[in-house]
Amino acid sequence: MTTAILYSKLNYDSNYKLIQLTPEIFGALYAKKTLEFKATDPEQPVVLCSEDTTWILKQKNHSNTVLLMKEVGSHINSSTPNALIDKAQLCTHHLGFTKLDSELEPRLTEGQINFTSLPIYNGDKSEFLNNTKDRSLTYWSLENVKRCSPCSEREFNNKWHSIGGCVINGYACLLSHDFISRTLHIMLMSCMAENLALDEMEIDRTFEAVKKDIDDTDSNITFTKEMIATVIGKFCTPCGSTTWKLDEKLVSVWYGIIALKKFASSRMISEDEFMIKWKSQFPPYFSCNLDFSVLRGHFYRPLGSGVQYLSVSTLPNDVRDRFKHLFKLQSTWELEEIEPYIKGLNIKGLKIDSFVMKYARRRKQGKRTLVSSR
Amino acid sequence: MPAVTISVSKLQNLFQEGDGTTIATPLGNTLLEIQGDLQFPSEPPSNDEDERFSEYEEENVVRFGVLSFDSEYKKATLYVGEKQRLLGSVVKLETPLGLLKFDHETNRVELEDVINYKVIFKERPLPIM
Repeated sequence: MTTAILYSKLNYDSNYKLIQLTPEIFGALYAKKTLEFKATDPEQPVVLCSEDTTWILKQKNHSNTVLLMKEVGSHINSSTPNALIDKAQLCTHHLGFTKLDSELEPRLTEGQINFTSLPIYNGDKSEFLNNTKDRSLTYWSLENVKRCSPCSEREFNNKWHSIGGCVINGYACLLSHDFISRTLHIMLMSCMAENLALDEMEIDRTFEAVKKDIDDTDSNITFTKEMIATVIGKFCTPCGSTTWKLDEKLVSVWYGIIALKKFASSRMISEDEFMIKWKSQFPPYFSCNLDFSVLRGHFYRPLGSGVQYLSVSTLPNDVRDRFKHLFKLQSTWELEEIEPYIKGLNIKGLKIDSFVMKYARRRKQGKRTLVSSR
Repeated sequence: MPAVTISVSKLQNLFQEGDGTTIATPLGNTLLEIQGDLQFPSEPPSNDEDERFSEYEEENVVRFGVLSFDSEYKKATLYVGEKQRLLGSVVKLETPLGLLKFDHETNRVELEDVINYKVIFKERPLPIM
C-alpha cells in the first residue's frame, strides 16, 4: 500500500493539453520522426503531420475533473493529515498543476494542399513576373506553400504535380488548364519525334526533346524543366528513381474532357460522334485505347442517349439540391454515372447504395442499377 | 501557426512502457480523474485553521486529500478533506496520452510525458466513519 498526499495549485497552468497517442503516432515518435501541428491559418482546423501521414485533430471535451499531478518530494510547507497516514507507509507528495477538460483525438485524414491563393501561370512569363510586384497577390516560395498546407511532406510531394503545381522564378504557382494541355501535347509529340520511350520517360531528356522542338519552330512559348516535371508528374507514374511511365488512362481522360468541352458543352452529341472527335484531339500517331466509361463524372445524357459535358464544379453544394439538379438534367441515371457527381458529398462515408437511397430511388434492371428521383 | 514542430527532446527513454502497473510515469506525473468537481478558492482564505493552504515555488497551493494505492489489486482510495472518501481504481489507458506543453512566447510545443495509466474515481463519495 502506497500513500500520497495530494495538493493542487489554486491557479492552474493552462498551457497543457493531452493528445491520444495512436499506435501510428506512437510509432512515429518512437522512430524519432518529426511531428508537427499545421494549419492554413489560425482560424482553420489544426492537423498533425508526420513525414507521410496527416491526422485531423478533434477536441473531445468532458466535464470530469482530470488533474495532472507531479511528484514534488516533501518540499511543500503544509501540515499533514496524520490521522489518515500510517507512519510506517511510504508517503509521497503530488501537486496538481493543471486541470484538463479535453483530449485531442487524432483521426487519419487526407492531407490537402492549400492552393486557393496561388497565382495561375498561363504561359506568359513576362506578365506573370510583372504580377509578382502586385502586393495584393500571394507569391510564395514552395517551402511557404508546404508550411501553410495541412498536409504531410510526402502527401504534398505526391499531390503537388497532380494539381498542376510548379515553381517559376522561385514563385509557387499552378499551371493553367490550357497551358497544361499545350505542354502535354507538345511533350507527347516531341517524345515521339525523338523516339523516346513513353514508358521510361526522364525529365531531363524529355525537356531537351521539347526544347529542341520549340527552338525549331521558333515559337514564343517558353518551357522550363520545372514545367515539364509538373506535366510528367501529373500524367505519369514513377517507375524508377528518375524514370516515369506515361499513364495512358490519365492522358485519355484529359483529352476526353477537352473534347467534351469543345464539342459537347452547348449541345448534345451522340456517343459515336463523340468518340471520333475524342480521337481527333490526340497528337498525330499517338495511340491509346479509348474507353468512354473513364469519362464518368464529366458528362450526362440529356435524352438518355447522347452525351453532354457537365462539370461537377457547376453543381450545388447542398446534397438535396445536387440530387434535384441532377434529376432535372437527366431523369434516370445509371449508378456508376451519377456516383462521381455525388460521392464528394458523402462525408459520413456510407456505402454508395445506402447514400443514394437517402435522397433518391434506386432500382435494379438486369445487371444495371438505375437511380431516379423519389 | 502555420506549422509548429513537436519537440520530444525530454522523452528519449520514455517510449518503452514501464514494467508493471504504476500510477506515476517515470517522470513523476500522475493522471487523476474524478467524476465530479473539486472546488477550491482562487486565493487562500484568511482563517486557514487546518493549515491546508501554503506556497510552493511562489505559488499558492492547497492540500486537498490523501491517496492510498494498492498496487497488487489496483485499487485506490482518495480521502478528500476530513469527511469524504472515494473508492477508485487504476486503469490502463486504451490509447496512451501524450502531455503537450504549449509555449506561446517561443511558439514551441514540447511533448513532456507519455501517460499509460490513470487513477479514476467513478463512484459517489462515501463518508469517513
